[in-house]
Order: sequence, then C-alpha cells, then structure tokens
Amino acid sequence: MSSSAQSIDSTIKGLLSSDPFMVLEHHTLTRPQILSAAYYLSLALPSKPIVFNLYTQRDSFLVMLLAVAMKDGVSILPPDTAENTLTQLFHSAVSETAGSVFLAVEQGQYASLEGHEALRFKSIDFTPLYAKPLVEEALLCSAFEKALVAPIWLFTSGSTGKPKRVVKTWQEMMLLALQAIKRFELMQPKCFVATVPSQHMFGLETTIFWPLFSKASIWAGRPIFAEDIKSVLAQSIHCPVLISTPLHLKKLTQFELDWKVSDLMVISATAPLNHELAETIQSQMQAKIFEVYGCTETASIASRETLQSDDWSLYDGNQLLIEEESHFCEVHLPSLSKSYPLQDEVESLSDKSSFKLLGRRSDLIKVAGKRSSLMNLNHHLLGVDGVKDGVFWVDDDGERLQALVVSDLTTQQIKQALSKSLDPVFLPRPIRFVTKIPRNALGKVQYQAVKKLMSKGS
Amino acid sequence: MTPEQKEIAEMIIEAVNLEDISVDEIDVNEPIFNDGLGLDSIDALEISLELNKRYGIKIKSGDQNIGNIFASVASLSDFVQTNKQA
Repeated sequence: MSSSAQSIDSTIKGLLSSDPFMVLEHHTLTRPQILSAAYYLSLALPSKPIVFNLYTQRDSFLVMLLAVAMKDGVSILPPDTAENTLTQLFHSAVSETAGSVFLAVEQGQYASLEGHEALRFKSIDFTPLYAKPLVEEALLCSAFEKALVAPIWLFTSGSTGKPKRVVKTWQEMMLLALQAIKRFELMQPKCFVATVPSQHMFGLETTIFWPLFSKASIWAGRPIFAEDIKSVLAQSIHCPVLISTPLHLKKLTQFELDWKVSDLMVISATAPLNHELAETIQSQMQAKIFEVYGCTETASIASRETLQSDDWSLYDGNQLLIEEESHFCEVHLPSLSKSYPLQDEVESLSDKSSFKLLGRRSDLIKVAGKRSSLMNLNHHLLGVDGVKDGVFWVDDDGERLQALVVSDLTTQQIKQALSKSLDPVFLPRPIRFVTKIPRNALGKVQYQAVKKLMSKGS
Repeated sequence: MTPEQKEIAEMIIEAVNLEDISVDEIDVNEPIFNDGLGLDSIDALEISLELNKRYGIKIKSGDQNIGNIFASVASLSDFVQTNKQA
C-alpha cells in the first residue's frame, strides 16, 4: 500500500471516533452521527444531484455536502448569493447536466428568492436524521470511500466578470487538509469557532475539512456579534481557535471587551493582518495570532505567526517554482501532485521553505473575505442603465469600496441596480458624482487623479 | 419619522459610512439589510458596536430574533428604546 493510500485509510478510520465534533447550542454531534445523517439523507436524494449548498449552519452544510457526494452528485458553492449570480449558475448547471438541480437553504433564508421562476428550493429538517440509529461502521466507511471522488465546485472572480470555476474532489480537500492539520497540530483536541462562511475556500477548509479529519471540534453556528463570539469561545472545552478575517477582527477589538479566554489561537486570512491590529488582538484576547496564505485553486499553502515573522512558511512538502526573469511563480503541492500559478509576486528565501510576499499581480481585491477584481466591478457598474461612466476605487485601508460615477441617477438607484448582480460587500459607499472620469488617451483610468477627486469630496 | 427613529437612522449612516444617503431618504419601514440599504454582516457588527457605545446595549443573536430587530429602522429604534441603559 502506498503512503498516501495508507494515510487515506487511517484518516477514514479516524472518522469513526466518538469524540465531540459539531458543537450545537444544546448538544454535540460526533463524526459517525454526521456521517450517518448524510448516509440517510443520501438515500432520499435523487441520483447524481446537483446541489447549491447555501446552508449557514455548519452541520447542515456538511451533512448535505457529504450526502450529495455519496450519491455521486456535485456540490456547488456559489461565490455570492446575488440573484443574478445564482440564476446564471443555475441555468448553466441545468444545461450541463441531466441531473436534478436545486438550492439547499435554511428555512426563511433568501425569502426574497423563494418562488423565483427559475430557481428550485429545498428545505430539509435535519433533526429526524440525527435521531436515527448510527449506520454500521463498515457501511459508513465504504460509502465515504466512494464519496471521495465526488467534486465540489468553488468559484473565484475572473477578470472578465464571469466567476471562474475551481473543482476540487473530496479526496483532494482531504489531502490538503492533512497538511494544515499537521501544521497547526490539530490532532491535539481544539475547539474551532469561525466568523467566515463555509462556501469560500478559506471557510470550507477551516470549518469543514480541517476539523473533520482531525481531532478538532467546530461550533456549528456562524457568530457575527462580539458578545456571541465571546460566549462561544468561553464554552470551549479545549484550546479555542477563532477563524476570522482582518476586517472582522478589527471591529471586534473596538468593543474593548474583557474576553477572558485562555490559550486562544486566532487564524486569519483573506488579507494581510497589519502588526498594529495583531498587537491589539494579542493584548485584548491574550491570543497567539496566525495567518494562512493561499487561494481558491490551492487552498492554504503556507502560514506565519504574524507577530513573530513577516515571512511565510510553506506547509511541509510544498515547493515554490519561480522564474527568475518574469518572477512568475508556481507552487507545487506534492499532496495533489499538481502545480498552480500564484496571483502574487513572491521572493523565495534561501531555506526554500519560506517566502516573502511582494504584492498582487493584478487588480484583485478582497472585501470582508470575498474576492472580486476592480475590472469585474467596473464591468457591472458600467452595465447599469443610466451610468455614463464610472470606476470603482479602494481606499488605502483596502476595507471599503467607493465609486466615482458620471450619471443622472441617484445613489439609491445605482445601488439597487448593482445589488442585483453584486454581493452587498461590494456595493460602493460612498458614490461620488463627477462630470468626467479622469482617463488617459488610451482610455485607462488615472487612479492618482481619482484619488484626488475622492479625497476632495470627503 | 419620530425623533428616536431619526437618531437611529443617523447612527446607521454614520456607523457604516453611508454618507451619500441623507436621513430623509431612509424609509423607516424598509429592510435595513439586502433589499433596502444593502448592508452585510460586517455592517451588522458595526451597528452593534455603535449600539454598545451609545446606548450600552449588548447585541447577541439569542436576543429575541435578531432578524426582527434589524428588520427596519423602526424596529431597531423600538428595540433600543426598550433596552437602552438609563
């Protein structure tokens, strides 16, 4: 048996442990309970289902994700839940497959889309599934092994404005997770709490795959408010781990709460965490602060302890391949036997296992953990009927988007039009109206001039 | 719009940097999130921060139904009047 087959085998056996795994408000579920619920649900699903998994509760999300995989189906995790995105993806899924396509959502969520002429909804009551007897171990293991080839579709925002699909199988997600589990020593019990959604790569790996294949448990809810996060962290029976983003963490520190948690570990991603914020988190929460680096194609590939080092350490075995002249960089992931190009320019350090991040290759932006590009956003802005010209702009904090617009429409009209195709985090605030967008002879926006116009208005 | 509702509308505008909207443009019965002002979960966190600073209110998702509290400026204003620290 090869070493990777061996690690797959022992990882699957680990799923039979009766340790707490999904922590809900009044009880916990073990891995066999979640696997059994998924098995029962899979029996009720049509063959080869195509499911948009929009659950916010992690237990519902995982049970559905696994049930779909057990039924040889495809799980789709949309880049956002704007009506146009869902409709577009839904149409392309329907046209590509003969299978049954539906949106799996919590009752009452996306109420405005219910009864939509094109989208089919399904709500499932999970409580009876959890109450059923556990499925026999051998049957669970074989159902799980079969599910390993099933694909999960994730999305990045392409530069053309069309989301780009990234496909990862369960087995790939598992092998990627094993590297992170080793890095963060997750075979020692820990309690994860996450503010990020499970539908994006950073959320998917940290809220589902790392805990599933390690000894960590995960809080099933997605707490947003400071008091909620504090009380959930305080309930942890092992070392708590908070998974979040710089933007969310910054807001949390402004509450100046007495966190009273011990041995807290914070893992942040989606944007660099600056030292000042990291220091505030450390002193307020008594936490050790880590960041992970990666992208949708690779999941996380490297990490750093923010206050210890500016350099990133690759997870064990990962290698960077850098072309000297062009600085073009690929990362080789031995776990998947594949290489992927990186969007950032990096400088490899002499030990080969660490690197410095030099900057973005393109105009990709991230707001509140969601990714788009200025080109994509501008494309939507210019698509609004009544907008003559316009450009998005990110302030120096990189936190919020602003827009400069030539139009007779009102702010509200522009926002309403944009909200049909963009996730709310990408809506510009404020929108400033001008008579002309500064562009050069080639029509390229002159950002220095935009910056001046923006600062004048504030 | 009552004076209490106006105060909440002003607070929201300031908290989430909606400086291009004036208080008069806000319909107190419109949803604050998604369909109305297009706010997201980070905005909810920012608004909860303001409620904490100004009124000593600690928002928890277990409070009644958080969706109902944040449903509109009118409902948020009612919640603040009932729960603010004297």
